[in-house]
Amino acid sequence: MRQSANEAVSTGDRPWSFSIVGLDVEAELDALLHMGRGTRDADWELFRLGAMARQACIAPALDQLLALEHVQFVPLPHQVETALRVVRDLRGRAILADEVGLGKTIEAGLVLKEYLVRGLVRRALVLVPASLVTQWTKELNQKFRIDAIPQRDEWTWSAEGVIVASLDTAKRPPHVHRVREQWWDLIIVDEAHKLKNPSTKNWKLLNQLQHKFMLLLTATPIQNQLKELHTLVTLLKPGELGNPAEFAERFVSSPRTPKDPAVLRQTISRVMIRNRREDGALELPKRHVRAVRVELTPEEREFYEAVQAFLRSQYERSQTSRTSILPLITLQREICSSTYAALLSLEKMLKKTRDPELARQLQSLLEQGTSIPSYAKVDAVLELLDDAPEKVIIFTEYRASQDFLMYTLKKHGISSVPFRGGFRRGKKDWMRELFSKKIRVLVATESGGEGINLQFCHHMINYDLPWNPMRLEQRIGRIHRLGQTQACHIVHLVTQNTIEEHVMEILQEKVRMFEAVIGQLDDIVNDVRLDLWEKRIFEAAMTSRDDEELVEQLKAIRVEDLVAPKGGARRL
Amino acid sequence: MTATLTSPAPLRTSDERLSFCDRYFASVGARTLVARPMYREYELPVDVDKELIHRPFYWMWVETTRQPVEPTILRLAFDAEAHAREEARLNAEQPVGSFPWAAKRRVELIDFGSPLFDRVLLSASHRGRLACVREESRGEIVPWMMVNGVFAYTADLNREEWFSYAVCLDNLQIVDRFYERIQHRDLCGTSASDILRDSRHTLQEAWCALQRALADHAAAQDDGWAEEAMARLRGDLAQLSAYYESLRNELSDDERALMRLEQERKEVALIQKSTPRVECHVQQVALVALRVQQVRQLSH
Repeated sequence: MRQSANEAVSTGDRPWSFSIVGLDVEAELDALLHMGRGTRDADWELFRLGAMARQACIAPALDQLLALEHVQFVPLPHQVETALRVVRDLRGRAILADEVGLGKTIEAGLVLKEYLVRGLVRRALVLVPASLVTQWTKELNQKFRIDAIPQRDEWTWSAEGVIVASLDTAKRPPHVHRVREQWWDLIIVDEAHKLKNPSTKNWKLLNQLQHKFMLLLTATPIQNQLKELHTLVTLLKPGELGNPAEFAERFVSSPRTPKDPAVLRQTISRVMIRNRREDGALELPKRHVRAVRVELTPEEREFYEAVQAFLRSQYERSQTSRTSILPLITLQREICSSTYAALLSLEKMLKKTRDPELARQLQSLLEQGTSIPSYAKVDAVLELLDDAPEKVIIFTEYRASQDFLMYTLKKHGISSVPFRGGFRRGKKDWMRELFSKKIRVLVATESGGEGINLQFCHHMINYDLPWNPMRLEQRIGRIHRLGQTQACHIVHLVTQNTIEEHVMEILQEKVRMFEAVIGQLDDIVNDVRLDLWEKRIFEAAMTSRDDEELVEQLKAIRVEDLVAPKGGARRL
Repeated sequence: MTATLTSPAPLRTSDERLSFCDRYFASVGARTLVARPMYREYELPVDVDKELIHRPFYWMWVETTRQPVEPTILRLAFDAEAHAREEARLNAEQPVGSFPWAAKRRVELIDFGSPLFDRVLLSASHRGRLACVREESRGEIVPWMMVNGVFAYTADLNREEWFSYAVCLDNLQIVDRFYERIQHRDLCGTSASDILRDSRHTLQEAWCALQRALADHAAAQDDGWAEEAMARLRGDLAQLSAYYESLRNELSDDERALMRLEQERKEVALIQKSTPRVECHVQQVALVALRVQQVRQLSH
């Protein structure tokens, strides 16, 4: 006669199963009878409060997000709509591909909160770059009131609730075994473009994890080739785009060009949501960008010209000997950044070379570079810091420039902290915290910039310029993003009469063209990495007789050439 | 016949939350030390403290070392104005020290979704799961067994619905929306034996009847949602199967075996995610004795 409250009751031919769960009614009544304790009036009051408490938390049909009642802020309309679509239409497996700064984190947080409130998710795993573990945990705790914990050791993986961890940690033994053993109701992967290659440990790990729902967050679902999109979608819904061969046959004209963008877009919309600024997804405070032209000191100019001459001679040599020009491109970019950065590369080349003539040239350059008494760009930075009363981020491409800048700032009594990709998570958090609370200047390298939010600051100096326009946009996006309440002031330091000056001019023009063409080709492929770009710039610099010719050559680079199959890029 | 909530969901206004907290803290024996407009200070008994404030190591330490425990005082504001006012008052009385950014908030704002309020709701649900009550009358009474809870209709999304069913322990008559009919009546606490003294049916019989009623309730609902969920699930499984089948020819036997395992794992995940199910979550049980006259009204 006695039937357990947890036993399922047969439902015949119904398409659903039925079970009675929750309170063990008979056990509770037995206890009540055997204890013989009477109910106090206060107990009846608590009974009535208990009923009200449960009624207050009932999850009705999904007309709007329940999460909105629980979070500590008012999300933007496009974020609410996205979260709603993920839960209602995409059924919890989606790529969130908003442009940088539109709030993918917010959208993912809303989806997670909605599932938690509805009781559909109890255990969730949030995989992010190491530098963002603390930031994600904090945001989930504070903004979404989600009791998330950062992964600390091998035992954290089996903890209840929401765990925030680094993808790099998760894929390494002994963690990888523990992560794979678990059942996850929801997995969120930030910076999911790191899953674009199916033969990597990242992708294989995610493919092995057992889960109900999955969200992949990336502003660049395609970086190089359309097949990356197939790889991501296959993680979420294997077969949605067919197998790799079927995908190529049906959708791909060339690695970067879809056969029929409209059909691909339509198909992808079943698993991907992308909001763009131009669609009116977000209005940010104004950004004021200005270029400050810096004139090199006579000694710096002499050194710059000497390095250019050296680069030309080495480039010509590489053309006949068919050796790699990558080190030369690096040196060219470094000399545009700072003398100090170039000196380190020259020193490395000197240690490596067995050619006595080359060694002599390099030695001579090193001596010339180390004898420079003052640096125009550094002086410009000091002047700018005098004018800017508040916190400032200085971005540079090179670690050597970063070290040198920090040394100089310290000498002038200006507090600064470094930020770079190689730091451990704790140190990154600490640096960010110091910068937000006490320190005036953060000197960051490119690799350290990914994903970190620094909206509390609204002044930026680009000590040097990346040659890839997308990377420049990514830098600016660190402060000019959701949550920024003030106008942002961005200064590009551009050394006059160097390749940097021309790159700067052409860069903006190319960005616009690039966007226009890519927009026509396919809205989805909107962030193809410009891997040919750096090579073309360098070749133009090396083969131009004067500045005029350089500018002509740079202008002549066609955007279509950059998005063509990248045979040339592979030969770098 | 379905016990859906037609009125707006409860506890969405600050007045409702204040009233709820006053009733809850009074019921659990907490003292109200300060009561100002939209602001309260409650002194917590130890058992309530343990339920509302998660600090197991603190309790382990004080109990092991037999330290005297200073009662916790909760300072709760129920709207932003009261929050700012009381924070300012506390700051004036006790300045926060030399690192203002390190100072903790001392007054907690109770809104819907605040973690402390969530724990209060949880505590009320737990403490209020059982009751034996009767109408204050010396006349003839009829004993009832009532269960309250929610039906959850779940696939890859869900929908919940409140229910309250009761069964008469004299004749096994089933009445739905029972709680809604009796919640405002004048009931007082009693013992289970007092209610069950003259009942003709056992609690086990009553519970069996209620389980049938709950299953009938689920069966009577439109199951279009479940049909749709099943169709989606079948489609997803077919797509998965076609995908792995299309890869199979290019693989060695070992690779095929691994892929088979991968496919099975993904099938299990899909089934887990999307299979439609109706779960009846029983939250509360009560024995209720009503006057005969009241019972007649219930039947109508």
